[in-house]
Amino acid sequence: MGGWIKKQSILLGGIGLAIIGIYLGAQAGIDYKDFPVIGSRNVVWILAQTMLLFAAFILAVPVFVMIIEIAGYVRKDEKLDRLAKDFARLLPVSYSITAILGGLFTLASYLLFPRFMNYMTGAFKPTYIVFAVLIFLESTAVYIYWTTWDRLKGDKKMQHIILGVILNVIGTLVMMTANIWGSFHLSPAGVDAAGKVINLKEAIFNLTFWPINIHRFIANVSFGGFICAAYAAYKYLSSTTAEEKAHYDWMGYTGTFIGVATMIFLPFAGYYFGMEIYRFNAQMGITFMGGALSKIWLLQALVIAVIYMSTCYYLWLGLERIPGSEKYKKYIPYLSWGLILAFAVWATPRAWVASLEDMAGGTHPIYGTMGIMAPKIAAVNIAILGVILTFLLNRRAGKIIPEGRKGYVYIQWLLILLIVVVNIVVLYYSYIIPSATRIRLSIYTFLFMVPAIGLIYLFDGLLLRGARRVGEIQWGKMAPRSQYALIAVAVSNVWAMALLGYGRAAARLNWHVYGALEDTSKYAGLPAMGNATLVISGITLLFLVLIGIVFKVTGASARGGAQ
Amino acid sequence: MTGGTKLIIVAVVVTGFYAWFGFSIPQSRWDAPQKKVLTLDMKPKQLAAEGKEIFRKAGCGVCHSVTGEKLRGPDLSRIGAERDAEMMAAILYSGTSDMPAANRPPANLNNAEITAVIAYMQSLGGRPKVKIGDIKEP
Repeated sequence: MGGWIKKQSILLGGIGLAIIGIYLGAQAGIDYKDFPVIGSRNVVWILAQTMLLFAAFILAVPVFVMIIEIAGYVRKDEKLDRLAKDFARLLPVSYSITAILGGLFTLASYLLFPRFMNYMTGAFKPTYIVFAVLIFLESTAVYIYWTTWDRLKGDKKMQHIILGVILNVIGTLVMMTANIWGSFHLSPAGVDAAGKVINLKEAIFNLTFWPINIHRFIANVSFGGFICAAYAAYKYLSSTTAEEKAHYDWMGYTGTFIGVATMIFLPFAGYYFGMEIYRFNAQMGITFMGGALSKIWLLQALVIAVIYMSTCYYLWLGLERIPGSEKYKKYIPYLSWGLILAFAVWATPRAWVASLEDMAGGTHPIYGTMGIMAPKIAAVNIAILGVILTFLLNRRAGKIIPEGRKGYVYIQWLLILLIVVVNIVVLYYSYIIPSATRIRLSIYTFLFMVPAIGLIYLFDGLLLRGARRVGEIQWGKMAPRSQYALIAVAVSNVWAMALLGYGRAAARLNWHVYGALEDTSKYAGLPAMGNATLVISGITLLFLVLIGIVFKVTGASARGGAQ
Repeated sequence: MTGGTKLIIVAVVVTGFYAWFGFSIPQSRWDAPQKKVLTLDMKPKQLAAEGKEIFRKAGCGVCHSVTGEKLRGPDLSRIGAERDAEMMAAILYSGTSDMPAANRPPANLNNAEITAVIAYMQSLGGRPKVKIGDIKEP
C-alpha cells in the first residue's frame, strides 16, 4: 500500500503541475510569453516530444510483455515468463518520469502559449477530466500488475494475464484520449466559421483521429521493441557470464523481432494517415509530402535505411550462432544490394522539392514533376521485402524441412518475384502517369502488398511446421558489433519518432489549430531543416539519458531484489 | 571503457550524423505569410502584378499551370478570356471538392488579396479590370 501511495504521489505531482499551468494560463491575459535563450517554441517542443517518447514506451512495453507472458503461459515456458518480467521491470520508473514530464509540458504550454491552450481547455474540458481519470487508473493498474507478478503464479497465472489485458486496454484509451487533441490540431472538425468548437463529438472523431491512433499504436510497439533490444544489447556488452550473455542475446533478438515485425506494417498505416490528410485538405497533403516539408521525407528515408540495414546486419550476424545456417549466407550480398538500391530511389532528384514556390508555375524545368511519392513507396515496399527475407532466412536457418514441402518454397519464390515485379512496374510508371492515377496506384499497391506479405508468412508457417533443428541456437555467441547495430537501430528509431513528431506539427504551418486558430507569435514559421535536426538530435539524446536512468535504477532495484 | 560510455558514444555519433545530414541539404526556413498592403488607389495592372506574387507564394501554382501545361488542377493560361471576375470570385471564395477556398488555409487570403489574384487571372488571356472594393465578400 505504501508503494502504491508513493507511485500515485508522483503521478499526482504531475497532475498538480498541469492544474497549476491550466490555472495560470486562464489568468494570463496575454496571447504569448517568450522563454529566455532557447525560446518558447523550443521549450514546448522539447518537453512535448520527450514526454511523447516516454508515453510511447510505457504504452508499448505492456503490449509485448502481455504477449510474451501469454506465450510463456501457453507453452509453460519459465524462460519466457522471466523475459516478460525483465521487460515489465522497466515500467514503474518509466511511468513516474512520464508523469513528471507530462506535468512540466502542460505547465510550460499554458504559461508560454496561453491563448492557444485556453482555446483547447474551452473546447475539450470533458476530455481532460477523462484523461486524468484514465492515467490514474493506468498508474494503479501498472502498480498492481507489477507487484503481483510473483504472487499470481501457477494456477493464478490467468488472473495476472487478465490484469495485463486490463492495463493494455486502459493504456490504449489514454493514448486515444491524447490523440484527440493532436489530431484536432491537424484536421479540426465540428468548428464554426470563427473556429469555435460547436460539436465535441465531431471534433473528437475528426478525419485524422483513427489514422493517428493506428499509426501511433503500431509505431509505439515497434519503438518499445527496439528500445528493449537496446537495453538487452547494453546488458549483453556489460555481461561477464555465459548465462547472462545468452539471456540478453535472446532478449535482444526478441525485442528486435517485435520491433521489426510491427515496423513492417508502419508504412501502410502511414499511407492511410496520408490519405486522410489529403481528404481533409489536399493542399496540406501536397505541402506535407511534396512541398515545403518534403525534406523531412528525405531525412526519414535515410533514418529508415539505417534502421532496416542495421537490423538486417544484426540478423545476418545472427546466422553465425545458428548451426546449419551456412547455405543461407550466400543470399546476404543480394539482399544488401537490394536494400541499397531501394533506398537510393529516395535520393533521386525527383523525390523531393526545395519549397512550395519551386512548384509554382508548373513543374521543374529540368526534372519535370517533383515530390512524387509513389515511386518512393514502391522502393520502400522492396526494402520491406528485403527485411522480411532476412527474417525468413533466420527462421529457416538450421532447420531440416520435412519431405514433400518443396511446393511451398516455389509458391514463396513466386510471391517474392511478383512483389518485386509489381513494385518495379509501379516505380517506373509513377514518373509518367498523371498524379490522380498515381495516388490511386499507391492505394492499390498497398492493397496488394499486405495480403502478399501475409501469404509469404502463411506458407513459411506451413513449410516449417514440425521442422527439426540441426542443432540448438548458440545464444550468447554474438559478435559485439551486432549489439552496436542494435543500439544504432534504437537511437535511429527515437530520432525517427522525433522527426515525424516535428513533421506532423509542422504540417499545420502557421496555425495552432489548422484553419481555426492562427499562430500569431514570432515562432509562427518553420525553422530551416538543419536547425530542426539539431533540436531533434537534442531531444533524442535527452530521452536516451532519461531512459538510461530508468535502466540504471531498474537494474539496481533488480539486483537489490535478488540479494 | 564501460558499456554505458560505449552506448553514449554510439548515440552521439548516430544523432550527430543525422544533424550533419540535416545541415547538408539546401536550407530554407518557411516564414508565415505576411499580409500584402493593397490600397484603394492601385490600378488594375499594379494589382495584377501583386496578384501574380500572391498566386506564387500561396502555392496556387502547385496545381494550376499558367503556361498551358496540364497539372493537378485546370490550366489557367486563358482564364481571363473565359471567366468574368464574379465567377472567379465565386470559385475562390467557395472552393471546390479538390480546391480549398482561397480565404481559408493554407492560402488564407483576405478580400484585397483575392481581388489582386483575380486581377492577375484577368491578365491571363485578357486585360486586368478589377480594383480594390469591386469584389464583395460573400
